[in-house]
Amino acid sequence: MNQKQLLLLMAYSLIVISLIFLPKYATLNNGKEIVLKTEPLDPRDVFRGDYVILSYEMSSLNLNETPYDYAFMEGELIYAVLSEKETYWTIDSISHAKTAVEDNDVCMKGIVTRNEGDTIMIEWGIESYFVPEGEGRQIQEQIENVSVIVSVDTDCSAVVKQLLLNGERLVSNEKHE
Amino acid sequence: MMEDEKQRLWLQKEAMTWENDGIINDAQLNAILSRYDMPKDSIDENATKKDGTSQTIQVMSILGALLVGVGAILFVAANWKELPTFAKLLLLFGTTYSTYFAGWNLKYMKATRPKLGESLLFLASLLIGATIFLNAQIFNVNADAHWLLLVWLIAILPYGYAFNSSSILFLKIFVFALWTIFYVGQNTELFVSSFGIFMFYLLLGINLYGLGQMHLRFERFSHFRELYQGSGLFFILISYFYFSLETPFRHTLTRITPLTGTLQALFILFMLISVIMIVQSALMCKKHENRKYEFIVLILTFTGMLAIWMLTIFKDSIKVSQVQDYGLTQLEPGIATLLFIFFNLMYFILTIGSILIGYYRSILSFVNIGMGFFMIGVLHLYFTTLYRSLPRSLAFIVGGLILLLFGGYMEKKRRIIINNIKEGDSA
Repeated sequence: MNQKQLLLLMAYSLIVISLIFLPKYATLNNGKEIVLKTEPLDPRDVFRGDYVILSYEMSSLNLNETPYDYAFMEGELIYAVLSEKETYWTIDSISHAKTAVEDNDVCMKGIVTRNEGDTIMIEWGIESYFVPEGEGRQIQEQIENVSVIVSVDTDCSAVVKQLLLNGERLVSNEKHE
Repeated sequence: MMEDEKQRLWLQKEAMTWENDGIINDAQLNAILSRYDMPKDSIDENATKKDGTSQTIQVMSILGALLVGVGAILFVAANWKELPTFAKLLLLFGTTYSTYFAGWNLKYMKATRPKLGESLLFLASLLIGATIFLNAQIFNVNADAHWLLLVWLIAILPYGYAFNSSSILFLKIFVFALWTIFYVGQNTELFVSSFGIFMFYLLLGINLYGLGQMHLRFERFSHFRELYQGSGLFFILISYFYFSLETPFRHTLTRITPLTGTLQALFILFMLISVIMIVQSALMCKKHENRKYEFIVLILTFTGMLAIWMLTIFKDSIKVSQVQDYGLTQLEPGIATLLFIFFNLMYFILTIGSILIGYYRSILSFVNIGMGFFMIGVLHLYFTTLYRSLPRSLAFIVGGLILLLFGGYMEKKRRIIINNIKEGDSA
């Protein structure tokens, strides 16, 4: 194997990794910021190692209260339109395909993980927040007052940007610039 | 005479270096060596014998690389916040690619320490994984996201062949197997999803074994055959061991939920590839009589797989009518016993098949895999049958005696087979 082949191989893996994470980088820096309310989980499950498991009001949706196009199956993609209410952003409607959103609204996509008839469980890809070792317990104890700043792009992808405790920044997360 | 031997050794060494450097391919190397009555196999053997410590060096280097790699991953997982994101990325990408470069330099460019170079290339492939997980951490990607493993696999996909490295190929198989666990079990608890995971592993075993057979068609990569086939046999036997247990049928089968659309598509893809691999094995079997055991093992594995698949489809019709403890339904006891007998029989036939393949193809690792699983199967049968009917103290004594006596007997048989293989090789 010569040097040129080696460089090509290295470039290949670099491209693979970049293709996955560059869009997230773009979302984090250029996406629209929204604030979501978290919901407390069973304390035994909240903190695992060095990350916090986040659950949201929108992680579980009652189909009787949320407009949708047609029934969802487990494993399907789901698109939600969110708008800002008093403090937090909440879901207005859900669908199987991306729909047009107004300037002040955003869309988010997730995956239906469970269907229990009238209620569906959704994973939005923003359920983990990594914290420095040892800082998780502090968050765990106050999880009921935690909200999350999420950056959402026009492709409906979301990335967690920051945790807030009573509206104040809780855990530092370095700048990504 | 002495001069001749010296020249032959020089040529051996040079030819191997040319192959390593990519100047000649494996077929050309064979052609050159056979011109001087030195088949490559004997050279490999001679080289191994000459450098008695090389195997140890290789193992130690790989272990060292593994430890450094695991350490790097844990270091990343420790979430070091002192460094800004850019510095973290620079550090990890820099370390990864400079390790690749150092490995390439030692294995190909200078070719002074190929084994250390090989270990560094393996380490760099581990560091690729660490890089991916660090990135995921920076962007708060969900912690149990299965696709991160898939990205790792894709990122190192060409490296095994490009660097002619068995350890990187092994890593790829390991990462893929790990991804299967996360992907199949993403929405259910591991206990329930284990049934589906081992169904996938059965097919994965067939596919890996078939892939190994395919490598015989490509002289340049034919030495990877054993790795693929050995891994294939391992996955086949470990899956059959799972299905030879009582729990999957008595408690798990009735609780499994239908696969999602993408999982179904993946399952069908695995099945189709398995069929192709079996057809390929049948064609090889026609040409070479001694390949029949491989075909038998594959076709038996696939038949068992179809039986398990049918069970998942018709599971509702073999459930007991009344609800059992904890609100769980179970299989009819008679049917559960029948399945237990059937899959244990299949398991033992396949372990013996693995030993036979190893014997007829002169591959020691296959004999060892077969023997190992045979022993595990015997122990399992003991604890599920005889153990229950004896007083506890006596049961332990009997179990220990079975282990000692049967272990000794199996070891004796294993040595006989290994000696036969070696005698066959030298003849």
